[in-house]
Amino acid sequence: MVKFAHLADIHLGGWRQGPMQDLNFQSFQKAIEISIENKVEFMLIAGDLFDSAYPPIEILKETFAEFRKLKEAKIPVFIIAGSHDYSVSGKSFLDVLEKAGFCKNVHDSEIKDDVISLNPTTHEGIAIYGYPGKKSGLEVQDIKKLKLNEAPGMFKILMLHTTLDKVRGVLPIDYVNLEELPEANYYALGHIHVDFRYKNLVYPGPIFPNNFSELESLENGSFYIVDTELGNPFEKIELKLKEIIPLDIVVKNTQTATDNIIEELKKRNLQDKIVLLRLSGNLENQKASDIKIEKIENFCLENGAYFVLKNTHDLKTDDLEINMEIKNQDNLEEETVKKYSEENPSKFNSLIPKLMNILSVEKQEGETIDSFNQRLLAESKKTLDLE
Amino acid sequence: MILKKIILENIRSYENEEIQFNTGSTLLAGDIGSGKTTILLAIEFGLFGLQPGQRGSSILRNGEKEGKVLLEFDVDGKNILVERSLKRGKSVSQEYAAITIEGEKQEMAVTELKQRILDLLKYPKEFSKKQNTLYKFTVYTPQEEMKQIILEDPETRVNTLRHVFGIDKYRTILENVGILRLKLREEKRMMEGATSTLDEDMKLIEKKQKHVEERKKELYGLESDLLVKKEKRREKEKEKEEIAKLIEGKSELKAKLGQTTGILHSKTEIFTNNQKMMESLKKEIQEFQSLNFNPLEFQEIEDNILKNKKQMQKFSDLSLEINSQIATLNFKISDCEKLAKKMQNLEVCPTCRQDVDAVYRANVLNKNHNELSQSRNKIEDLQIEKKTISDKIKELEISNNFLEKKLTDLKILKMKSENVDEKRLKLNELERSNSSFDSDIKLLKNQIETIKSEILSLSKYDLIFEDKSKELVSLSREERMADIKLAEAKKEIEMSEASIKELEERINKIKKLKKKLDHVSELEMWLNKKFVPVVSFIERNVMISLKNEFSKLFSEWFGALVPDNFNVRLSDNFTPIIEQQDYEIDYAYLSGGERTAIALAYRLALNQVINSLMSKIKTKDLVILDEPTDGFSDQQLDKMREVLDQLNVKQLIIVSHEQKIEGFVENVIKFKKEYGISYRE
Repeated sequence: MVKFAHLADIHLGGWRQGPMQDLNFQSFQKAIEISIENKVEFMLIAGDLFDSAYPPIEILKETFAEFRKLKEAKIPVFIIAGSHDYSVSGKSFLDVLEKAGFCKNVHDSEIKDDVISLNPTTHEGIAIYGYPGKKSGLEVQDIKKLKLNEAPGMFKILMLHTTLDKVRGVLPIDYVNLEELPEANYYALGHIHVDFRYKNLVYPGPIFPNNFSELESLENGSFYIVDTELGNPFEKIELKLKEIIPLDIVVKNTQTATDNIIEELKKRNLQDKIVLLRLSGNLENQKASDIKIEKIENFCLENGAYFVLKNTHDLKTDDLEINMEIKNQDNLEEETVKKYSEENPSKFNSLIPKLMNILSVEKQEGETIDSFNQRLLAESKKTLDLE
Repeated sequence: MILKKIILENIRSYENEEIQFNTGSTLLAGDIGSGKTTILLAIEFGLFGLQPGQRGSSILRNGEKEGKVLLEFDVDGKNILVERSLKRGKSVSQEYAAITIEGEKQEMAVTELKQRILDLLKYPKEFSKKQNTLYKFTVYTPQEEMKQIILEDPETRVNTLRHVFGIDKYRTILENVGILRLKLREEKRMMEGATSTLDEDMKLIEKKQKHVEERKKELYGLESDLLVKKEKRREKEKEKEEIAKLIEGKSELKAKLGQTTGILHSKTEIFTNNQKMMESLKKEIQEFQSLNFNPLEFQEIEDNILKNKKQMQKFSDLSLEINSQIATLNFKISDCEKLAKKMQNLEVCPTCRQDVDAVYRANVLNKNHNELSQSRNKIEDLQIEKKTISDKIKELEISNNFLEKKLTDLKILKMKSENVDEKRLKLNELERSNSSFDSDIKLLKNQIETIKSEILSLSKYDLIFEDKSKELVSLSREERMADIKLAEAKKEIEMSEASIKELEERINKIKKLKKKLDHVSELEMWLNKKFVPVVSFIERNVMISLKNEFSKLFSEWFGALVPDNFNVRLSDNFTPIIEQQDYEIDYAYLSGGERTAIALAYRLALNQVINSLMSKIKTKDLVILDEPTDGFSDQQLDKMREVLDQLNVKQLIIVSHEQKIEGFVENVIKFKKEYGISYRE
């Protein structure tokens, strides 16, 4: 009866890095291309077309070009705002797109007696309802109050950009229970970047993984083409562009880590791949900066890698031996010496502050190395009782 | 430090301008190029003069020969006025420098003034020669420099920050520990060398002590041996002395024998002589008895002799009378002969000088001749008489000689008769004495026999004495040998003990040295194993504490400037790490506004860290921000208000061309530039 494409979470302009931004966009292009090829009747974008309410001009430019293709293919686009491209004032670049006639924002609601009634946007016997996502899950409480105004006999699609209990998992965010949703024939969902379908509830996943862990888990973007005439109307379309090489490395020795990682990389064909470098580990007394990430990155790029993404967030070095408030450096020194002395008893420990004081002298201008050394030794020996 | 006023004369785009500063926030506003940043440069120049590498021509107004900055500020309530001038020669150089503290003005050298300002601001002295990074980081960072710090290679940045944080100190300490350890190791090696003989010495001393003990034990043996030998020798000496005494007795006997034999001889001789004498006495007595002595005859002869002698005397006197008559006559003859001779040739009288008549002369000569003949006759007569007398005397003499001889014989006879009695007495005496001598001689002879037999019995001791002497010599030699051996042993012990003492002293010295060595080793070990780690540990702690504090503040400031989806922190080399979602994003991928936000957040965080760390520095109250919002969106600009409120400094000076900032600050000073000259509106 009906065939449409369901996209969500495109996050155009989300990636800061040009090459990744390109991929994101290419993925979007591909989805459009596939949709046109498959001659879908219309397209749904369930929020977060843009990564922000005010995407950069470059992104807009390209986006318009893509929408133009859809328009030329006579595929109408129905959208809602997502948590990213939502604007409290209601003004966002989605409006510009809509005004240009490239899409239709289907959000049309009325609030009455604590009930939010949605009006449908109809298209050839299809009634499309939508409610936008908001920042910080603020839409959840609204969604619980939703009511769909009647569209008798029509195929009802409800577009939402929110979290449902089924996909929440363990995320500590507000969510909507399935039972609380008004009745519809298809739930075109967005917001949670997973490929998830439960009956007629579909999260198609992002068009392109939006961050490091999504690249790790999803590897590529996806969307759905729903054709109600088919036995299984839900076809998931994977948007494979680049292969992913995920490297999850637990660093034990920062001195050898760089070479070990490069060795590991040498075993792979990096050509045109996205390398995901996740470093973790408790370095204790080692310095994270001893790992030459730049060298690793350069190695990848020199070996044809498309891009390298890194995550060093779990590389823990900062387990301070002494946790204290810095009042000043002296106090920190004192406390450190005290703690160290307690742990390493020695009859010489009382010499530490004096010795540090004496040994912190520097060669004076005009002083020869010899006379400086002599001065240093004489004073040290006095302190060390070696005369 | 609180800025009060600055006066610029011929500084960059200014000809002459005075600007007052209030506390609180002040915006230096104006279009790009209107001379805002010049004010900041002039403040820095006023404080510290030209920075190393900064050229005077970048401060002095083009085409002007002289320029001047007067900066008035307050440090701890003290009013300070600094005056500096620039002069154009071949190049532009700093000319005049003076400081007025509480109205007291002092001119001084440029470097001296800089030192003075550092003192006043309690800045480390090291900045007198270096770029004043502390001021740059905590008070005024030129517009582009903070971004440079962020983009700088990590090592340079860490070094700069270490310097700013004063953590260089630990590196210096570690370097100096290296020098100290090197020296200690050197000393250790020397001491090790000096103490290396200890074990050997200990063994040696033990050996020597053992040896001495053994020798001492031997000493008892040697001493008793010597005693035994001495005793033997003494005994032998006694024996020899006894024998010697016997031999001495023998000699005495021999002497006695000689004496006795002598007595015997003399007695025998006297006896024999006496016998001879007795025989002659007997003979003489017999002879005398045969002679007859007549005393009368003896008297008669004596009388005749006397009578003859008287007669002879009478003739002798007569002879003498005749001799004198002859002599007188001889004189008369001689005188007559002399006269005859004189008268014979005499013609003139010698007395009356009258001629002597020959008659006269003949008469005289006749008379003289007569006299002469008479005298000669007389002498002849006298001579005859004299002869007669002499004969008579001779006769008498012969008779007397005969008589006297007879008298002598008679005298002898008389004497002999007188001796015979004596001889008889003597003979008796001799006979008596000889009979006693005879018994004596017999006694002596017996005595001699006895002595001789005694001597014979003693002569066997001579041999025995000789043997004893020989034995004594050998015993003495043995004793001497034992004595030498003992002395040698004692000497050896003494020497060994001396060398033991010496060794002990050496060992003690070495032990002392070893104690020192142990101390040094322990210390060196401690320096290496404990001190170096503790310094590194402190350094690490300080670094980590600073970094954490810095990172936290940086994140806070950034969070205040840029809304959500960014997460920033600092890596351990103080590189900002910007995370979007869960991946890192390079600074290069940030928008201009975001980069400015990073730089501003970094700057503000650093400012806070340093001010909390170096609590003594006096510039804590002043913050200067140069175009802090470059590239900010409106939204971000709005955030600036909160940021400025949070900054909470006594004096904040912002340079910005952003009009919106005007609303965020308490004071606004506007600048304009016309015809190349900046001025305050």
